[in-house]
Amino acid sequence: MLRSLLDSVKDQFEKGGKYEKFYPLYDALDTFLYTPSTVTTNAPHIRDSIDLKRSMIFVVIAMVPAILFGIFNIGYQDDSTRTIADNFVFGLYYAVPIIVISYAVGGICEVLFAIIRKHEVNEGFLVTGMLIPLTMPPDIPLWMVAVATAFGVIIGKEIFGGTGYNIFNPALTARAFIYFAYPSEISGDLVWTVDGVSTATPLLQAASTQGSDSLTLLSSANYSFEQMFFGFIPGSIGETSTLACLIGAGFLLVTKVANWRVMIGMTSGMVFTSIIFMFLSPYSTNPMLSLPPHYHFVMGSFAFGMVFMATEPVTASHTNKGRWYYGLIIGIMTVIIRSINPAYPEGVMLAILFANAFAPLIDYFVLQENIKRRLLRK
Amino acid sequence: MNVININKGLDIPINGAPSNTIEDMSNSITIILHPSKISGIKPKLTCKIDDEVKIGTELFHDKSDPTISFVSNCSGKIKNIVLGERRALDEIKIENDNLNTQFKEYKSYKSSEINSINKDTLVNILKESGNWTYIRQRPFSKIADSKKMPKAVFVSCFNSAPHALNTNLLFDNNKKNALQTGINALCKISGLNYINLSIRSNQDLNFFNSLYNVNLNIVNGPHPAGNVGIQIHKINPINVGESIWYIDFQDLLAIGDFLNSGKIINTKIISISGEQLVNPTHCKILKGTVIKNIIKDDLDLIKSRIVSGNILTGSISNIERGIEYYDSQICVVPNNGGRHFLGWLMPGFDKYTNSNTYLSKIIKNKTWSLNTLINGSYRTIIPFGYWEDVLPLDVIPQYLVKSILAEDIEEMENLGIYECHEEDFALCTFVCQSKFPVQEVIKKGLMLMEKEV
Repeated sequence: MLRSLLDSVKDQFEKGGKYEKFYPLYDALDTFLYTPSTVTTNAPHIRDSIDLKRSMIFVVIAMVPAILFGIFNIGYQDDSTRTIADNFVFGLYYAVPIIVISYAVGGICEVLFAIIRKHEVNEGFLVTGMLIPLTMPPDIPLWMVAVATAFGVIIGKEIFGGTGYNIFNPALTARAFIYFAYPSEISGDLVWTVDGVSTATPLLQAASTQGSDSLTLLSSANYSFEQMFFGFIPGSIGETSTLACLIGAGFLLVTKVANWRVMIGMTSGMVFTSIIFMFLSPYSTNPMLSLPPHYHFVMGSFAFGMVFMATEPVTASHTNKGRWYYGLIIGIMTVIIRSINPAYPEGVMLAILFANAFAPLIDYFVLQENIKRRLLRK
Repeated sequence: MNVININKGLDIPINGAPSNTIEDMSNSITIILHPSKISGIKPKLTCKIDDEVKIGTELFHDKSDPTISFVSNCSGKIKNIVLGERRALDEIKIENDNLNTQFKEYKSYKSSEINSINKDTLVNILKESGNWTYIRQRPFSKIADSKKMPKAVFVSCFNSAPHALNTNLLFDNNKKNALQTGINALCKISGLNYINLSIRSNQDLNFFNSLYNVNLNIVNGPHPAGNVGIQIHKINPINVGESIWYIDFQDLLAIGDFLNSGKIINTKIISISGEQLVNPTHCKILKGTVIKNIIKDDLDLIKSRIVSGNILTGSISNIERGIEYYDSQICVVPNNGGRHFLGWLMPGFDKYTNSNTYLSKIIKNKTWSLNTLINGSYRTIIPFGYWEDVLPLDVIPQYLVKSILAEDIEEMENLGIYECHEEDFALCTFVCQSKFPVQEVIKKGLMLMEKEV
């Protein structure tokens, strides 16, 4: 019945129809409900069953553990004595409005641009719309979410021509916008406030006292490795649980939606740099230098950034070799920013944006190497 | 002997594979040639309606080299000639009288005698008899230029495309002489000491090892390992300004047979496949046979698409057309497959995919029903890296495609366009989640390049 209803109004949205302009909207709804009827017009006459909707929805599915844990953790951080269900309900109260706002504002921007620029409504927003809330602290004012989402989608993506053409990850652009535009209102990774309760995040704690040791500082604030691995710590909604992110990573790797080269590269870069820093730490009063790699891995949004942000295919390197270097750069930069730059305790976001900017340059070198190899074999 | 193992690629398990029996259908009444579809030539008609023709009578030739003849494969009468847009020579229809008379008798040679023939004489025999047209060159896949010698000659002795002709059906020990004759002839006309043969490890190694003037390569791996372009790339890649000749294994045998016997080989063995066919099989046909004489099933023509060539690279055809000049395969594909509610959300046990995004992936050893649906919507390129997984070339497809779209000739050349042929990129299009027509873009790039050169 739904099918016949859609078919009956189709001609009004097609060229010459009454609502011709809104065809992208019709198309989005039509192909959302039913698989498209487009057939091949040329060789190859058959195609794989995968499409962009499937790929994108798989990224969202991979985020589910992080979303669920994040919602629970909002309540847990507020009052750890409540039951799991109560914590979850408490968390929903904070998380749902943020998610709704992000999808609504982003969806409107996406559809508006699709109509004006006459391109299709791209499924990429399914992912961006969920990533943005997960990078937000739960106490963020909703209007800020709206402004940031609009900024991320328009400046981060649409002005470049839409999904596939953007240079920077739209969700990270939104996050960075908030980070720099409202530094006093949004505490982000620094402090966690729900109902006026403020707690320093582990990253801030580890960097808090000059001349001390990061692990001592962490244990003095009662942050254990296990606690940070499982995610019972303050932080942005989706980033706290490394375990939840790793479950998502496993899903993305098994389904081959995310590229393993970026993840391995990023981890290697982080391990390499933090080990070097550990050797240097006796010569410095900076407590962050002594932080071992496995702590870097579970603190802040390292795992979250690695699994969901760095692997975003459009803004990463487009060559397999380049993906290694791209990952390495993020890993190295993360540790450098975290340890050496006192203004930004969390380095992952900036490191990924930095690597986004360098991805085309990395590819350029990979191409030059390929070209040189071709010239040499004569 | 070299062994080359190719890891990247994909064998798509499709329903309706052909059986290994050969049905004789070489008494077809109607032969149709489609000259305008032969890439790289400008056909000039040399016959007219109602002409009586024999096997070997010239029908048309290439304007740029009039010595390259395309000849009739049967004796009979020209029934119809159809000119298309801008007077393109779309169709020559011949009615076969089944008398099999030959236009001209050619001298027969033993394989050992080939070397003593004058090179130009041999070239002229091949050109006049229509056999030269089967020798093609890369880059650009057009008929070989007899004035410019290649740096190597390649023959792929197996096909890896879905349901492609099983070349093991083409030869036994009796064919050794013909094959050796063909090889010697290729060496003679190209001025080379040996030609490159590629076989799969499951082929008769002793048979191929006993041949002379051959550099034998064993190439293992999934499709497109059988594509000659991939083998050239792995063994002796084409650099700027170089050319390589290649010929289908079956056509090489035909040239050998022709030189041995003096008789033009007017038949070929092809595979016919597809799940809608009652009996997908191999059959022996006259070259250019009209498809309705080959596929006799009662097909629903709206619900099925007939493809001349393989399902990944062939062209859309119909039962009234002849099989295309270089094709040795016809497949029937179910057309459209209906619309499914929330298909992107379903587990998809019945949907074939090379990615791991449908649960069908856990079912092994099954063949699948694939239809002409693109299974998605056209989107911009999102580089998930799926293309690279099925492309065994040292070429960076993302950037090659971008340079072609930007029509940047120099960059295309740098990124290795000369080593590419659209058929090698068919799998990239197949696996692409954005349904991006990689194959078409590569073809466009080659056309741009050819104009430029």
